[in-house]
Amino acid sequence: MTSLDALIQGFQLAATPTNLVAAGIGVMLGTFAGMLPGLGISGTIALLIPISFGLDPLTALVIFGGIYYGAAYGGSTTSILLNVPGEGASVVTCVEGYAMARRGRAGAALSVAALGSFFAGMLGLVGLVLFAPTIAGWALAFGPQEYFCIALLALVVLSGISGQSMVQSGLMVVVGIMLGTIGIDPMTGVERFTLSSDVLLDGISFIIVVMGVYGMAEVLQTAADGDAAVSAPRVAFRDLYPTREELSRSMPAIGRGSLIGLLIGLVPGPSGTISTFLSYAVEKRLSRGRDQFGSGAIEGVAGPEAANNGADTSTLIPLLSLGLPFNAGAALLLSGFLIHGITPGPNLVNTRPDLFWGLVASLFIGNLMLLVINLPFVGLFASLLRIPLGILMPLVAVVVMSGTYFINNNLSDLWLAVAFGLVGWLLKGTGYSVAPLIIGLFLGPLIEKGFIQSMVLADGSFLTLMSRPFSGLMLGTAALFILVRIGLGLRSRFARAPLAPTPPR
Amino acid sequence: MNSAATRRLALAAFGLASVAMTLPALAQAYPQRPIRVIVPFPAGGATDVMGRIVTKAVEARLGKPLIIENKPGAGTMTGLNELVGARPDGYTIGMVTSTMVLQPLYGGSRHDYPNALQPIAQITVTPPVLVTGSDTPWKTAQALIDDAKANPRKIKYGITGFGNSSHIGPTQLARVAGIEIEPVSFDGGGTLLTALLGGHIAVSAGSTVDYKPHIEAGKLRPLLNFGPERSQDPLYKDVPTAKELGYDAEIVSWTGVAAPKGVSADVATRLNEAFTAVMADPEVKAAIAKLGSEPVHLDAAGFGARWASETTKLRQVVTETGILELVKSQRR
Repeated sequence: MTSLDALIQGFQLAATPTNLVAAGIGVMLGTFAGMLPGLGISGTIALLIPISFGLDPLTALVIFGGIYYGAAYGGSTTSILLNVPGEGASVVTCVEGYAMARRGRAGAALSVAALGSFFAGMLGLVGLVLFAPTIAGWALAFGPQEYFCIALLALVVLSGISGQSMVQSGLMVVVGIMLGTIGIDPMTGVERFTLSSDVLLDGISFIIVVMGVYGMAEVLQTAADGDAAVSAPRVAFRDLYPTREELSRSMPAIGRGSLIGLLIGLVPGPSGTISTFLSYAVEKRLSRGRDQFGSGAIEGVAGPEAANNGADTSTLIPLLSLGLPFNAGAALLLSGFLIHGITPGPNLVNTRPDLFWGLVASLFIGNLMLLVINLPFVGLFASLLRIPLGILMPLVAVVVMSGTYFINNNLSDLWLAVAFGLVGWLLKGTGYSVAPLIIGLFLGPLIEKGFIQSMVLADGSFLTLMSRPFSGLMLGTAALFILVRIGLGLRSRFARAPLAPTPPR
Repeated sequence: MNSAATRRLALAAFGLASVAMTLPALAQAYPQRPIRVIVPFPAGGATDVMGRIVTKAVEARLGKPLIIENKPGAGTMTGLNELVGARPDGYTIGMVTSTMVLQPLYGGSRHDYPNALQPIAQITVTPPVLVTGSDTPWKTAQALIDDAKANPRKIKYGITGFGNSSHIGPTQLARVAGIEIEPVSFDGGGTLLTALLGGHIAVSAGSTVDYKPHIEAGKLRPLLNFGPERSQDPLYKDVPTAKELGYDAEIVSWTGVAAPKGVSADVATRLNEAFTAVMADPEVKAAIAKLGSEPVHLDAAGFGARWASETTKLRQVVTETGILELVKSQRR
């Protein structure tokens, strides 16, 4: 039986009225969970796991799968409208998406995010159907050495993301890495820089910092501006949807973002977030609208959102064909499977082809449902911005606070979010942007862990990083990138020198 | 006596009587409101799901909701610290794991958990099993030990944290077998498993729950059981224990429920009864077994005795193996 026949049978199972309703419920719940920062899919699936006992296993899986997918769609909504990223993977969506919203293009940003997610999701599912076992094997080739090198390459490429001077962004990266060392040492269990405080015991959470420096800082900024603060311009209903030009600019970005997401999603770890960062960096250099980055470039929304969904979909490949969850969302799906006595892994497709193909088919259906559900709501969501700032901003503060609390159910996290809100606000207009800081905070711990593991495995030999093909390639690219930047810097300095003679005393 | 005074007296008497009536009623009627259950892991992990299965069944018996609150972080210490600090009125209980005995031994925890908490019930026991990839040359534990003897420090094993059961088991084995093997720390069972399947790490001693599907699929080979006796699970029943092979190495991981110390005897009895009844329920047992864990119930007294005996035994083990010194030297 070919994959195609099996998939058609899967569609027959997934298209029963019960399972269609289940898919609908799943994607709605997921969209909702994705929109509420902090709640995310973890809380939603965990709540549903005990309730799902009485259901037919496939129906339960269809709901869980829908939540998983829906959350990836919903994540962009609060980022674009309120500048509050609910998860790591929607941080960069904030940057361009919120800038677009302030220009009155929120509807376009939301539509393009939905289209990008749809396209990347479908492409990922096709990849899953055709190549799952082969691709899953590649995923296992990534060891600590590869992980270290990918994180290092990401740090090198992303340090320049904010377009300020190298010194300024380098400084912020270093501060971010330093903040990332707070908490329990991942290797030895030693407390570092916790000042014997329970608040810092578990380190400074990346997502809490992000909620502070984006969402909270925006609230503070608006409050400080007082009457000078401007609401988003009012737009007519037909202007809510993307223009032909915006669409044609987004298409290549969606294509590139999907590919980046699909590849990076196979790397164990928080690959969704890394893939959105990389897609943003790529769009900033390659896309037609690269000059508009920072003030609302649509490619900066389309690319990363496609990358996010691409990564979420390709993470399903190791989950379904190896039984290995590479991120928190996949881990939760795995629990949902296990509780119904289903073990994802190499045997699933043979022992329970009905479940495997039924689930895959339902993901196709769910993906389509999400597009159909999301596009009509774009207008409704975008019109949220017509609320006067005096009412909207306190709402944003509530969303930030509740979202921060949901993450660990920890009150002291709220103080951290407020503190980082102040930091973010004070840094506005100083030339020091917060983007390199959060990149350092996110990648620092990954780099540290990968490095120590590699060194123990190779008895302290640096050669291990260069002799393995993939890690060697990553390291080489990183080195090349640094050299090119230095070269460009030198060239522009020499080229400028005669034009800018020292001013006479 | 005028009528107003009579009325007051009557009211007072009525009031007293109602207080007298409600006092025993209150004690009997625990719980009066929802009970908070602190789970020191993120939502969706094995312990969380197990907690949800068990508390759902307990809820039906106690007649009030049990609400799970996930307080992950700091190797369960964030959640445990919160549990220790909660009011011991029976309205806050929490899931605990065997690390609660180990952490105080290393001096890294804020509280001495076995003395700051009160046992309610043990839910599962899982012995770590030493596994290797199916394409490695080691068919038996003895072959691995012989290879390690011939090539000191060549074999690396994965652990999920310094000083936890995944570290203690192999360290005990290395000491009694006179071999040198080196630990590599990973930040969770999932990432370690990925590295193991990818052949980046040679062996590791982890949870049967994590390994089960991969052993069934023939991707991993179990070599050694660190438990006191062989497992009943058909998948693991042919795997010898370390003791059978003549190596004095033994460690188990367990999961259970505890309350902050000082819960009144009535409430403690009520909780003990509820968990005992639930753990006898075949449906609950089946659900836990489906997750790959072995449901092994101990009542409050038995669970408490385990905390005490393991504290003594593990203190000796971590001292003898040098793990205590290792962890302490890293703290300096």
